[in-house]
Formats: sequence, C-alpha cells, structure tokens
Amino acid sequence: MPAKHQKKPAPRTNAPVKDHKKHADEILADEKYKKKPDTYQELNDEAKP
Amino acid sequence: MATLKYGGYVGHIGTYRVKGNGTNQRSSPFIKSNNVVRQLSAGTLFRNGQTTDAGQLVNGSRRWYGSTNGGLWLHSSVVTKVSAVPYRPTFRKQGDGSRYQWSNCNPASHAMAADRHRRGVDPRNHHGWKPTPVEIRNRLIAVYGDRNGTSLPQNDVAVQHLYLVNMDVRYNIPWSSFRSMIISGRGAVVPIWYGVLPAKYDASPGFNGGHAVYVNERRSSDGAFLVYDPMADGRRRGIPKGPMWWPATLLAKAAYAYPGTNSGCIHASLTKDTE
Repeated sequence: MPAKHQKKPAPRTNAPVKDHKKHADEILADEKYKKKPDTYQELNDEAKP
Repeated sequence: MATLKYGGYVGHIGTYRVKGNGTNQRSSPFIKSNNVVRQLSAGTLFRNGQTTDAGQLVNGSRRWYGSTNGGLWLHSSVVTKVSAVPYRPTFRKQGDGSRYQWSNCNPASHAMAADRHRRGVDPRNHHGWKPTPVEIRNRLIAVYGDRNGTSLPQNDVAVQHLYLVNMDVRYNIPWSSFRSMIISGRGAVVPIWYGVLPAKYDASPGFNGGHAVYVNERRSSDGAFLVYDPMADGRRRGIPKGPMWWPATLLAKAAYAYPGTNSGCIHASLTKDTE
C-alpha cells in the first residue's frame, strides 16, 4: 500500500518538446517575450576587415 | 489541423518513402486481418501528419506514422524519412564596400531573413529584390539617422517597409523554445558575442564584440544549426566563406554571451514559419 501522504514527484523540467510548432507558437504569443528589456543593446559591431 | 487518434501527436512530421513492395497500409496502428486499406509498392511517398508511440509492437517499436485524419497508418520500420530541406536564402556579406560595411551585420542578417520569410518571392513593390544590406541600411538612415548601431526592432521596421516582411522580435526566450522555432520552420536573426567563437568559425580575427548572424535551419542528425555569418565572405585565407553548420552548443554559448540576456535565454528576430 502506498503511503497516504507521499510526496509528489517534482515536475519535469527540460522535458522533450513533442509538438515544436505548437510550443513555438505559444512562446511567440506570450507577451513577456515581446517587451524589450532595459538591458537590451543595439548591435554596433565595428568588426575588423 | 490534424485529427489525433490512437495517442497520436504532431511530431516527426514529414514525407516518408516506403521501403519494400507489398507494404500494408492500415486504418489503425495495429496488425489485424481486417484493417489493411491497401498495399503499397517500394518508393511510394507517404505524408506523415501525426505519430503515435502506442501502436502495436513491431520489431521492438510501437511507433506508427499516421495521416492527418488518423485514417491511414504505417509502422515506422517500413518507411524512411525523405529529408526536407527548408528554403535557403542567398548569402549576403556585410563587407560589400558600402560606408557602414563593418557595422552592417544586422542589416545583412535581416536581408537573408527577409529572403527566407518570402521564400525568395519578390513582393513586386518599388524596392529592390532580393534584399540587400545596403538597401536596409539606407532605410535605417532615412528613419533613424546616420549612426553605426542598429537594433532588431529597427531592422524589423525597415524590412517591413522594403519587403513587406514582418519579423517577430522576441527577447530572453529560452534556448529550447528557440530550437523549437527553428525546427518547426522559422529562420532567425540572433545577436551573439563574437569573442567566444573558436578560430574555425571566426570570420573577423581580433574582433570581440556584439554581432548578428542569420540562422536558417537545424540538422536533426547532430543538432547543428546552419548559420549565415555575414562576415564569412572568404575575403582572405583563413576566413570562412558562406553558411556553416555550427554545433548547437557553440551557437547557444555565443547567443547567451550577448550582453543583456538572461541566463539560458537569447534574443532573436524570427521569420514566419515557411515550411
């Protein structure tokens, strides 16, 4: 018999994404990723030829 | 939209080729005497719209591939996937002799992204086609003034005006989500920190700053990403030329290192899903 108050297993993190398209669409629709952070820096590479 | 049946999920989508003659295509992912729909010959193509890992065990696997409506099934052991290559845009180098050529990574990367977004199709407006770094830079100068640095949203505004391309600019997205976006058919401009690149991928030795690259696709065999570095123009010996497959760990490391990103997250400007 399992104990009455067994601890729930921790939720899986980094679980494999089964439906990439659905996951991508969900993240793209999430408002929290649309806000430009204060720390955002422009690209000013001035690379070396 | 797929009608998911028998534990089906939208994964391993693509076109598959039947391996042998007389392959039974069934109405359910089980071997029964009364569910054979037809027999297929070797080489027949099958479009997989869903996958289940809960079908009948055959050759050690319960994986079956199903049609979008869930009415036709083939066991995974009787087919091979036909490699699907997404549209690959024309490579654009930033070192094109223009005034801002060595600060033009972002416009050059967006030129390639705009090409992918439209799958090479000319919007037939009064601007040039295909997209060029200098045309995008000139638009940025017209709108934002004469300056070196450019941002992802500024470039998005420019390619909207020039090529009717509406990029999705996102900040601090988890790496695994970015990977899903690429796998599911999008291209992306990604800001990276150039100083972390090893010599094999370094197209500007001695440069150690922020840079933008265009990422077109992911290779499933090893997880590498096809990266278009606009500085990789082979202008002299030792400088890489054109798109290169970067290990996922390298692209992630370079994108994580871009200043202002949260731990384990990257900034990116995504094309629409073109595949």
